Amino acid sequence: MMVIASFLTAHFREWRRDWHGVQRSIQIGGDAVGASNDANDGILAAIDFETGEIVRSVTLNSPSGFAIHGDDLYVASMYGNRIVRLGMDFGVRESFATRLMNDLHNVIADDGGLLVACSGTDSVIELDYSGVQKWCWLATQHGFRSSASGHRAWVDTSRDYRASRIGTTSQATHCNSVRKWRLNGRDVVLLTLFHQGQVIAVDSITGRASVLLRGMRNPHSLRRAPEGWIISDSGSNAVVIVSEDFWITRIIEHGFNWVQDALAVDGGILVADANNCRIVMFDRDGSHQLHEISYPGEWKVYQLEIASVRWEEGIRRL
Amino acid sequence: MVGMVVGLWVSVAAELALVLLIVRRLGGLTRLVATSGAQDGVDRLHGTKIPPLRVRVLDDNLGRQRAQRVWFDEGTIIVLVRPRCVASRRLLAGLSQRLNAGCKPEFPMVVGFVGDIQDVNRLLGEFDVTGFAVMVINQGFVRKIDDAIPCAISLGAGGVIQHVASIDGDDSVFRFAEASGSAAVRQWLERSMVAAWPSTA
Repeated sequence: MMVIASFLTAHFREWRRDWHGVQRSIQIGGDAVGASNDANDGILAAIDFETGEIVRSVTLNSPSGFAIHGDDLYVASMYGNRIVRLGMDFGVRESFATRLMNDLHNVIADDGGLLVACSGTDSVIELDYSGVQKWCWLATQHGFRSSASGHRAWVDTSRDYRASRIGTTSQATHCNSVRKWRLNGRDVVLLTLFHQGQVIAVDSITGRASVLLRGMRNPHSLRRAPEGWIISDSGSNAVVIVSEDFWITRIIEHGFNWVQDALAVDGGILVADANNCRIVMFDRDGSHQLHEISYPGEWKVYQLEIASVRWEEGIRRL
Repeated sequence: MVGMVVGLWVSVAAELALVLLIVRRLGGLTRLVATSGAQDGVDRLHGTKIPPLRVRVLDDNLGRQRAQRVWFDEGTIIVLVRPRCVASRRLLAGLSQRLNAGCKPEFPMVVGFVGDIQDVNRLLGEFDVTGFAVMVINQGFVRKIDDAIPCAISLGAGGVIQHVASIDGDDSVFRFAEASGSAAVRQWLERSMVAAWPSTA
């Protein structure tokens, strides 16, 4: 099994000084991969999960969420404030950014385009594959008007935020994971809110938000699971499994230290146990550990995906 | 004379406008402070009197409910939880295990559920807190404390809130017991921990 993983930085000791704070320098507008300081040098890696061998890797500016669509891999650059498109050889094809892109955390790709969670501007934007914005939702325009530090939070859609510095505590929600879904006959966008500890459903037409799940500490990564959904309750060091209707069915805790990502895979659950620097596989119940691999302590993991057979062959061949 | 009266009116109106402006600014600042965190929000409730809570008593038979208004004795601990809340579920799991380990508290305790009644019944079907569960239905009080749920409240004489805090696990439960200064609560937590999880003894 090949795991594709993004690591926000390969210099975490240096980077964590600004972790969920404000980076010292943002460079923007240059080439896609060149414009980054050392601390922002992150890695996208294809790892053989059985052996732990890194089959292929590329250095990128703070790669966070990523999504595969066809032969393309779209990577969100957290502090580069742009989306980078890579091929199977992990070579950079192009990059693009729109004005609300700031502190990017998650990107989803489907036939309609890309859905991006922009934590810095507390927004979700939908783009077509040419980078044109089709839809946008701003938390600050829908009831989330106060930042975590207690100040007024507001995002002006006419402003360009790509070169701005917006710290996590200055954000109203730090929304960081997004999924399209259909709920009670309506198209919604599901969203994890880091500060509120919630999963909300945003009506695609009205923009109204309703809370589906709460009581988490700094959640990330909302994903489909066979029985419903799987959510990383990062600050509580837990993986939360909920049913299709968001009823909590299991809370998995195994001495994790900041669950950055968790996904259901064939025969189990794969967990990115970030501060223990390991990727762990558990059985379907989450009760028994099956396998684990570790990675260097200076690397800060963000997202995991299982490579399809075609992608695994492509990565190994090219 | 007319000029003096008009001048006086203008002066009074101007001062009134200034006072209103200051009051509004202060109000705005208060709101900002109030939203700066769930715990900060509930801290304001310390020393205030809890209203008689309108509740539905959730009987052993989950189908039967009767609405009533309840007053609480001095020393009562009210734990508020809600369905579809990870922290509430974690708290309820621990509480249920303690209560069903044959270790009942020696102080009055109420587990108040907030939210949709069907969800509450579904949750009660998973965690047994028989004899302690009520469904809190006065929305005014719930709104005041909403962001802090799950939380615990300790009451003093006359229903005055002595201490209120968000709790979501054993650490915060013990911190609450320390802060509330109730020896009975602390002792029960220690006794029930040994009873519910013998391996920790």
